[in-house]
Amino acid sequence: MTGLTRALWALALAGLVAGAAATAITLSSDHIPHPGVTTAIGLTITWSFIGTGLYAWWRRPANRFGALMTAVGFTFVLGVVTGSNDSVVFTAGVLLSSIYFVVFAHMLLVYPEGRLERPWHARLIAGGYLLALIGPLPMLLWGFGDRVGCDGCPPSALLIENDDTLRAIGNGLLSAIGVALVIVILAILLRRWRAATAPQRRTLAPVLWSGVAMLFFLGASLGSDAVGVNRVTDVFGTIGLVLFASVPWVFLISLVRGHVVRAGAVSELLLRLGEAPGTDELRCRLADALGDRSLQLAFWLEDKRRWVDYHGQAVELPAPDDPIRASTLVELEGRRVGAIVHDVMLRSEPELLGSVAAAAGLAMENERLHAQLRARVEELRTSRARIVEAGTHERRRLERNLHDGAQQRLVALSLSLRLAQAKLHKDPDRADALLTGAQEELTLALGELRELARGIHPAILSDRGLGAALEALAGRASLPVDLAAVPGERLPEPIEAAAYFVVAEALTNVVKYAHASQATVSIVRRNGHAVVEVADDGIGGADPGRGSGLRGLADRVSALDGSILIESPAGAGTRLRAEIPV
Amino acid sequence: MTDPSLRVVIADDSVLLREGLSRLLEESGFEVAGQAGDAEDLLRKVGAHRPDVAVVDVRMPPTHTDEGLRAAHRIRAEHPGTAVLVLSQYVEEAYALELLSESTERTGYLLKDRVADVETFTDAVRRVAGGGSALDPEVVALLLGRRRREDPLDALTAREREVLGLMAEGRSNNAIAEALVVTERAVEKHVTSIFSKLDLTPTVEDHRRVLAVLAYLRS
Repeated sequence: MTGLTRALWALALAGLVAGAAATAITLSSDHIPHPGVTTAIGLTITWSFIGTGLYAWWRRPANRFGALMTAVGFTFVLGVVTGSNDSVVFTAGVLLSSIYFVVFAHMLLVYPEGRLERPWHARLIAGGYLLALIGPLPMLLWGFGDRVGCDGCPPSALLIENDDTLRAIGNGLLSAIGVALVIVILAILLRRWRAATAPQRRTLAPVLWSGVAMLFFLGASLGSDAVGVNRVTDVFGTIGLVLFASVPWVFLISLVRGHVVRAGAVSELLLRLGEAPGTDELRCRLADALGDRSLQLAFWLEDKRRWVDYHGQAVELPAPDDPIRASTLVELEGRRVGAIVHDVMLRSEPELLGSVAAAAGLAMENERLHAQLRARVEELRTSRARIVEAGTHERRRLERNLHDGAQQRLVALSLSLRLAQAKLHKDPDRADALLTGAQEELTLALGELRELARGIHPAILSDRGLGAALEALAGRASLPVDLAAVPGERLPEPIEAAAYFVVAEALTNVVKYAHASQATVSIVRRNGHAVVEVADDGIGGADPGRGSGLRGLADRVSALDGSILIESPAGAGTRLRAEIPV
Repeated sequence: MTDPSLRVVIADDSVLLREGLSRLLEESGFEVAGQAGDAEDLLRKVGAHRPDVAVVDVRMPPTHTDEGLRAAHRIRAEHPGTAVLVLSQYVEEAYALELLSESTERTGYLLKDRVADVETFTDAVRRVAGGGSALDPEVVALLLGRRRREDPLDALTAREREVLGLMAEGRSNNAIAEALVVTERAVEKHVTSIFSKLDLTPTVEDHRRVLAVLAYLRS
């Protein structure tokens, strides 16, 4: 038995003892009109609140609702002390007899979350407790007058003198404040109802409505007291009391009924999930089972390590402290398949969520596969767009290189030739110098064109294949490159080209960023794939997202259904591996 | 300096370049025996004219890949008396080494741009016609510049590297001496030093020497 359970049992025992003591006081009272009925009503209310409250407390120890409900029971029983024949005990009983009412309002305000929403609610409740304590003072100070039901009461220990006027003024003032407080609390509760979502309302309804009704009637009873219509007081007070007594039972019934209804919903869900759900069907069924129309599903893509919706679009799960939405993970055979994103209120029903999540596993896995496929299609679409974009970008780059390089040189050359032509006869030496300059310019232009052409597509790659092209690449690199392995046979052209450009880009990055002393390149055929590896002994810590070059390569490789992986632990070199199916 | 008896066949699919080359060679005192637009035509004309030198472009119809190179191999095999000078649009050391790997005799590989530098070009034509070899300086530079781990070339002096480069291009000691403006004796000393530093067996004949140097640079 845990400490909490022991404490709760002790409270239950205390409740029984308090009930017994109250019964003894009531039955021995000389001024309570119907001791039998009063005892029965008192015990029923006390024990229902204490019992139900302890049960709720035990179910949700972190939620203060249970504790407050228990407190309502205990504070209610305090009022019975007014049955005492002893003047001082009677006076104390009167002073404490209204506290339960504020505890009850407090309980309504924390329902169902278990805490007050705003700081001023706490101040409001504190004001309520104070008012409940001083509320009976006018009667205790200036006599009960002709108040019904207190003919044989012992005299108040605090009595100054019997003064109807002062009492009426005090009573009226305090009752008015009390009514105002009740109205404010009612307003808070009604606003909460209006703001609530469907599943929230389902949770709120029973307790809120019976509570609101009780507040209304007891408030009305206070109000009528204030204006002095004493005959109405009892009618309103009695209705309020009956409603009050019903609150724990309504709470219990809704708890039990909820379990039954939801157990039914879960078993129906299990049956209907078998009927091969299509788009949105699964979502609707889970939404039905949980009674949350706003429910959404997220699917887990293990390889991408992210969440997507049914259409494969990336989604985010709500943060743990999100005030509106929460998520529950769905697993299948210990593997994460998805998550149900639902109203945060459903957290108060963990058993229901758990059984729905368990029931949804297989169906979610099916839809997850759909989502994965769609995500892949989406990815292909974007990578295709990027390839087109990269193509355009590459053309612009080529155009710029041609324009800034060879073209400018040829223009200058044309000018030099013109000048040389003009000087040919008058100043042959100058003409000769101009022609020499033109020759040099031409050599540079040719060199640039050659490099440009090689960058677009090295002729040797198509002529001689990967081995020769990689050897040429390695020979031109500004660090030693070890060609560890190259396939002896030719591979399909797109694969050779992709592999070549992967190595070229990787070596460019090695030279630019890695601070390496050497690099190793290997291309082997393994399990139906061409596996391209470029490793260096540099500083590591490469960011795979860096540079458009690598991004473009990843697109190029994924266009061939391949994949690129970069391992770059800081200080331990970088290893780029591309696998392309052959 | 001209040798009017040197007869040349030119193969290039660009008529413009073919005509230009032809004019240039004729002005420099060569006899252009024939022109060809593709490899097949080239082989036919080489067979018919038995020229001293065939100047061949690497890329020619129909596939525009390496027809010229393959034709060059066939010419060397079938017509040992005809030297081959291959012209390439690209600095592609693999092509050059492939061409020169069997024999460096009567074989050359030059960048196409070189034809504009008339002296270098005609010198190369004469060299291959005379039984020697010619390798483009850019290809040599690439081979020399290749980064190696524990590079033995680092042990060479700057002058020795220059000499090694010129050797790789296929130049004789005499030509190297002329290019560097030193005595032939000095060149011989450099060559001996290079061969011992690189642990190569010294050879006298120019084209064998080129073979050894290239084999070394390639490894």
